[in-house]
Amino acid sequence: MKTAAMGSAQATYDYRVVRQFALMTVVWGIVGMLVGVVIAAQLVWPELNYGEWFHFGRLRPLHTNAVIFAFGGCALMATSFFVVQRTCHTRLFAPWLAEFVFWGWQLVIVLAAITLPMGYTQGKEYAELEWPIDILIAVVWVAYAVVFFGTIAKRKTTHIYVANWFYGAFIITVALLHIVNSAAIPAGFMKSYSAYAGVQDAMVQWWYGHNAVGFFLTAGFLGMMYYFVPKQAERPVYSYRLSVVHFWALIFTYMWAGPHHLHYTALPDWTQSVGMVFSLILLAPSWGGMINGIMTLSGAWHKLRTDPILKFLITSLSFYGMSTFEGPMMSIKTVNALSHYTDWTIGHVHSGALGWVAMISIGSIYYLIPRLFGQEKMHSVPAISIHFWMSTLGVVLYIASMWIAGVMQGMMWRAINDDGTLTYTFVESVKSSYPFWFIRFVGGALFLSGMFVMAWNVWKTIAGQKPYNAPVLAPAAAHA
Amino acid sequence: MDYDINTLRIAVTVAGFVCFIAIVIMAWRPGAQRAYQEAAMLPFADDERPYSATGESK
Repeated sequence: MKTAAMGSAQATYDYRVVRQFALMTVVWGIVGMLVGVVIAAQLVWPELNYGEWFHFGRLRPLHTNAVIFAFGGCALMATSFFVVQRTCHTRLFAPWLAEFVFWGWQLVIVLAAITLPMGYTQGKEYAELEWPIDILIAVVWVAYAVVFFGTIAKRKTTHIYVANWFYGAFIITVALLHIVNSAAIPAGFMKSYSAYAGVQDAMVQWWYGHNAVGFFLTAGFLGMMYYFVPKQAERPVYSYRLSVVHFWALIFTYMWAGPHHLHYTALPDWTQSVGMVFSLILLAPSWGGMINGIMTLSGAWHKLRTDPILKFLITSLSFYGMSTFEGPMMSIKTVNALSHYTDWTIGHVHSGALGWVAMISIGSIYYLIPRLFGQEKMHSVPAISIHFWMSTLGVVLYIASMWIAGVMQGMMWRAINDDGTLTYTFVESVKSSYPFWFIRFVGGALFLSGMFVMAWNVWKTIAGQKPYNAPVLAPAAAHA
Repeated sequence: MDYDINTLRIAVTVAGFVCFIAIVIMAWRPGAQRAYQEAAMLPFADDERPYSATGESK
């Protein structure tokens, strides 16, 4: 691999690591969503909580870590390594390091799957993993950054395509967030205490938490959008100008939105207000990006009728638009007074996680798989269509049931009798939630079933096929 | 005029807004369009569809 000469006609892109991550995206997607369906079932049928290891409290962080960092992370690494090579017209910088990123990341995931059910946790949402694993994550992430930015540095093109700006922001910010929020004093091999105390600790955690949403689950996937939507629609992005403003506005604004997770807590009022105001402003860049993605199809809307991959990509943008409208609304203090701590939040998260993140990843992986194995298209295009409808119906069932359950819970918790006593006990709101938790379970199971259709389709596409590495493009092509 | 913490807050707000306006002007300045058009075509500089598994190099 080291001998590939620059500009040589024989040189091919490093697709090996892209293939590894793309296939593991499907595997971890199934694992992570399966755990999600299991814990949804545990809420409906509490007797499914077996012992301490198979308990909702232990499995819930396993679900969130698996879908965000294993499924989402593998999708982001697969697509970023693909996009950065193809838009920079060069092979990966240090392919051996990319190999380390792959195996290191898989090790992190396996360690998470072992330690979280055993109860090892730092107790910070989406940052539960204990300090030895945190150090491994930091090392792997820095290696990822070196490969990605090294590839950009040796690009053969004048411009850095906008997708790479978003991937780059995602990589840098996640490194910053992870290292700052995971700062802890070890108190044993798998035990530590946060370096921060009290409300500062909460603020650091939600600065991390919301930017994990903003950069891991948004900026990275916007990078995906800016490459795979134009490629699948076969036309350039609607407005490159808008994409530049979109980029700077989004990364500037997201940084300050975290305090909305701490409304009506010990956090100072002014900090809560800053979080709310920036969350409201965030609607503008979010919708700017969504419009830019969807309008890329203008003049080619007919493709949506026949192309299920495009359906995945464009529907994901619709869910992105919905959840980035809902988010700012929920950050308003008075709305938050109703929605916080209810299932409405869970519905909002899954509108983004299943509707946006999962669907744009699935669409992009369907684009990638045939190209990584020298095939023209997936084994079964109708199966992609079936998967699309299973996913869409699954998300709709999920978020609609959580909206109803959430608003109902909020209304019940705040209802007061004439004499000032609470109208409902907490457990009454739990009892009233059961039908909606069942609908959520059905929606999640439907989404998971779609992933099995995908796994079958991927298997049939690649079985017996040789891996394919496309030749590196001549740099002159950039100015065609 | 008294300078206090609010002066700093106002200054930061104004600076943020000026940054935003500067980015908009940068994006819409004459001359940017040509570069952006080139950049926007980067994903299409190729025909990557192999349609035959002959390129295996490993």
